[in-house]
Amino acid sequence: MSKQMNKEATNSIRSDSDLVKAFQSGDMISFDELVLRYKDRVFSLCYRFTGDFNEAEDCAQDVFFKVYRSLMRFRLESSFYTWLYRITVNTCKSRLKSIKERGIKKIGNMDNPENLCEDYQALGKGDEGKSPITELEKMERVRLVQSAIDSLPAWQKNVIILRDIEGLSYEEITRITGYRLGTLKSKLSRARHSLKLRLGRII
Amino acid sequence: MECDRVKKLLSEYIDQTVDKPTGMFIEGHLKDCKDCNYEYMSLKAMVKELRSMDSLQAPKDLLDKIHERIEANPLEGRTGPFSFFPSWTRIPMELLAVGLIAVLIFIIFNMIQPESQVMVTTPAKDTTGSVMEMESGLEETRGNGTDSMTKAIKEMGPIQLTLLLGIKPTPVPLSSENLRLIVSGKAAEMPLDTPESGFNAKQGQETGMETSTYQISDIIEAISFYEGRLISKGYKDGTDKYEYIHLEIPAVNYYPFVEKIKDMGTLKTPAPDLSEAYQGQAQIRIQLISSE
Repeated sequence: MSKQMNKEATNSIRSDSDLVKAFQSGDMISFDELVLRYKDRVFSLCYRFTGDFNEAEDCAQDVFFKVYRSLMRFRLESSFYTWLYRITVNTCKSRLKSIKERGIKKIGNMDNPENLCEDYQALGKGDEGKSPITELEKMERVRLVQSAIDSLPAWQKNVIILRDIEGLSYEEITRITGYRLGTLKSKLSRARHSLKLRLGRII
Repeated sequence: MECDRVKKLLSEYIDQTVDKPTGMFIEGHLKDCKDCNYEYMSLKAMVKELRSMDSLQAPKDLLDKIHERIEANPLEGRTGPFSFFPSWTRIPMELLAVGLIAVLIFIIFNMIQPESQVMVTTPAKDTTGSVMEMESGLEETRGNGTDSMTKAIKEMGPIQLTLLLGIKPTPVPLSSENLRLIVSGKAAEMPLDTPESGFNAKQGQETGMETSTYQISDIIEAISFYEGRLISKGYKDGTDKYEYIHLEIPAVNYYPFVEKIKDMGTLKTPAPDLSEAYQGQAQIRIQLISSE
């Protein structure tokens, strides 16, 4: 489990499984609590996949709507966050496919760097303590990295985001993606080399 | 080639998931190979850069928008009487409900269809082809019936007929002799002029020309004529009058027998149908009601 999720789970009064059981018993507030607990993680994951603020917002809504519809049938055989991440990854993949079919050019790509800056500010990531130049440099690096990630095939994007950005363990990723451990290691190695080639001398 | 092997293992080496001997092998190779070492440093820097990427904040109104979506699609959320139960509870409850409905339908169906079921003894063939006599059982009117259905029908008993004796207008041949006897009010024994009946009827004793009066012996004679047998008969308490007759008759003779019974009186309710395909014995219980 990622650091932030661990922190959330241990500090909260009710565990994820308690909230799920409460929802299944008719307590709607439990669902809201789960949304508030994981919305940033889900939205962040959606943004890394889609590279676009609006698409990420719609995607996150899709994810939680699916969770709402399916939570009654969730039997807690796996942890809630693993299940949530699995839904998120699958929803993101579907949305990427939809974006491709619709022929939408993503706002935050290399062709529209200004829009990415607006996106980034909209995400509330502007650090007022740093100089504007430092902030711009950081935004530029993030834009380039995100653009390189966007250009990866979906399966490479998947393992890079889960392992290197979200910081999930190999075991957690295998549970989410269904890959075997050997397959995951192999895919991750290829994805990292592929991303390094795209980033060139930037890093 | 050693470099190819090392480059494939660099990702795991960065994550520190290789075993100790492999780790020592990679470490030794990186000290000697500048290309692999450069590759390693680049990959490591990239992974560090990725891990330093900030976690993003979701829009503040995300929860409100999710609520709007749920409210706009209520049917896609919780529906049905058991929707608030978890699936491992809900599914058995739904199955139980379906089962109860099925049982209820079965009971209602049997309550409204009692006359379509008859009691019979069935000659059935066993697997070796020999004929064996089944224990007195019941079969559904239509089709061959199953064991469970037979059991259910068995509880219903034999065909129940209620015969109101002697109040049926009869087609008495009005020969001059008969007419004379009826007008004079005297009892007369008149042969029933129906070639298939084969038995006599006593008629016109007291009720004049409007009714005929048959005796129990006529019914017993009819049973014999249609190759049936009398199983039992009962008397009214404290009298010598018959109350019922319980008989068995070949199914093929069921309808002619019923028609003959109708000549002796009026059936209170129509006789139930018997499957034409049925080849066994039909058991009938006739409740007798005298018109006197």
